[in-house]
Amino acid sequence: MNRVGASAVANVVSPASAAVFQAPAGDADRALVEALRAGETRAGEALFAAYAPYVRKVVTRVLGPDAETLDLVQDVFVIALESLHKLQNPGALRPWLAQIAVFQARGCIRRRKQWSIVRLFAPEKLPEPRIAHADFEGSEALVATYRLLSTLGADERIAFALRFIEGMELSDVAHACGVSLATIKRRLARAESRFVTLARREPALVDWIGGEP
Amino acid sequence: MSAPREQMLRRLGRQLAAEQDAQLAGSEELATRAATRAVAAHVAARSAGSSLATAAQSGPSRTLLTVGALAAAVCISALWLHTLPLQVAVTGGAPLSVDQTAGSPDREVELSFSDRSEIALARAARLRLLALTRKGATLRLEAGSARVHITPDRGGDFTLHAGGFAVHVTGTRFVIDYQARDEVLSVRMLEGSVLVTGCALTTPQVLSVGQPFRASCSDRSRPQGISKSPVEVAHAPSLGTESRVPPQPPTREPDVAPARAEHRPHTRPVSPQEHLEPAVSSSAGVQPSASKRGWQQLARAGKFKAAYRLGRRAQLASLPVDEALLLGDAARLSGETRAARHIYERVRSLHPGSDAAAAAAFACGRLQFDQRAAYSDAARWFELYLREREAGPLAREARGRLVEALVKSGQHAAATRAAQTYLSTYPTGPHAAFARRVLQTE
Repeated sequence: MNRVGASAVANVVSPASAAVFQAPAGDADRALVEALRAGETRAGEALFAAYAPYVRKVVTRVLGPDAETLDLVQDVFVIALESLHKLQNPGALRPWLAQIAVFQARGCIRRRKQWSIVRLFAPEKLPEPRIAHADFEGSEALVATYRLLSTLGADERIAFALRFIEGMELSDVAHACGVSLATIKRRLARAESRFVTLARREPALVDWIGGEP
Repeated sequence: MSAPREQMLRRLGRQLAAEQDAQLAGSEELATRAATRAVAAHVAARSAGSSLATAAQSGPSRTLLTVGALAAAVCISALWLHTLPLQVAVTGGAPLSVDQTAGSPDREVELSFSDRSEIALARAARLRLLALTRKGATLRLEAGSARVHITPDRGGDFTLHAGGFAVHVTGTRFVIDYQARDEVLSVRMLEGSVLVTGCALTTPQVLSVGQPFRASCSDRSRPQGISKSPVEVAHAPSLGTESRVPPQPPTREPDVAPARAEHRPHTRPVSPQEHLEPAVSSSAGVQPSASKRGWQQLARAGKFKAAYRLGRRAQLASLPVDEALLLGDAARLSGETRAARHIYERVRSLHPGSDAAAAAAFACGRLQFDQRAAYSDAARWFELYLREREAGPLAREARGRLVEALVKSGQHAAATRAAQTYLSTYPTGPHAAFARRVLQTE
């Protein structure tokens, strides 16, 4: 076992707990990636323990409360473990995972829209959007926001959610979406314009956005 | 984007993020447990591969090979389980396999799917299972009638064939009847919507609550489509009257009438436009505009989707409480569950302690039960109604629904107590048979 692998394993608190990297930073991420590439079993669990909450948060920001969130989180980690060799900068593990999560969420959004087209539902006749996990309840503002976001294109919706709900910097949003800064700015402009127009007619959001101009 | 607008959106975003984080924190353990197994198995399998390579280089190691084989088996099992199709069982628990037909000439038969969807076949109905997938099933109703409940919000994908028709379902409740001799299909929506294709339908028909459907494959000389006979529309369910017995014509809820009296007179600012409208009799003593007058009439005529579309922007605080409840019903019965929940909750906050507030609690329980399969939450709402109106007009229904919700949410001890209470109070009520079954299984 090399020195990096040993330090990663030594950080394991106990066999019962894989909550190792509590404040992921560049060095800890590099050590974790090294341990993963070396095939350390506990490192895999440590990766999940460290980043599953974050990945789940990113997916939830994009999709809102959704019955498929856990499936998507699982898919993100399976993909990450399978494609670890593609990670060029081990210190950037967190944004890399965010990128995979965004890609999976985007695929989910697109699949649903394609299915609704195949079914020939007119948009106004769609059943209630599947946004609620059985135990999820939310304020009217939260519910209304994701209802409006579901009417945007996938790219605009994702950009809006990451920028304004997750609070990412523009450069981080661009990286997560895999596009240039200029492109993400254009998407945000479209998303913001559409969202504000719709939100002005939503009772739950009008106090935030302001009424009809 | 202007700076003020960006700041406004960021403020909204922070509020929403805080709310989401609070929800996620409450369910973190479940999420972690659910996903860790599959990921850990995958990681273990990869580690087993490394271990095998090491063992091959350094010499035989029986222990490592055994661990590796077990880990690989766990990984394969985890991935395999994830792709398994749904399972379905008939009354009594016997599994139903593909190409088998369910039904009985002399009794009802229930099919239960592993995603909690259910199909109840009437006597002499026959239903053939054609295919099962991870998210749904394909079935053929060969004859008779069935009540269908597909669990919403789970990505369900079901198709029911009946003669030359096909009914495509994602998550809803409806009653379907197929008369094989005349090739006549009837569909009555209870909640949500479905898509019907086939036979002489030139375009797929979207059916929602309040749009009964009846069509025949044998008569191709005239266009087929949605039947909107006044009789069928009048039988659309309304708050408090829907139950598992045959539907009754809608009636006004008795608890709403007292609420109407409580809050009369009701005043609000009248817009200049409304002054130009002809005077209309209203319990509120105001003269609503044409569009606001229209949505109430549409709702009372059972045209819930159109009613909600027209009335959705009404200011709830300005509406008489019975009309606010009516708007909530219109939203609920047209499938707008979120909006319905919002309206009912507003009624409760605007008119606390009133009969209408209690009725709104009952309606929330129905929403959670029927359209979200959130049975624990539904039970809480029914209990709330009973606390507020123990002997109210909806008490019998609330007690019966409470037993169902407690059973479905796994609270068996509470379900037993609720069943005993129901039978002691309503020994011949609509839920009496169900309550007895609950007591027999305890």
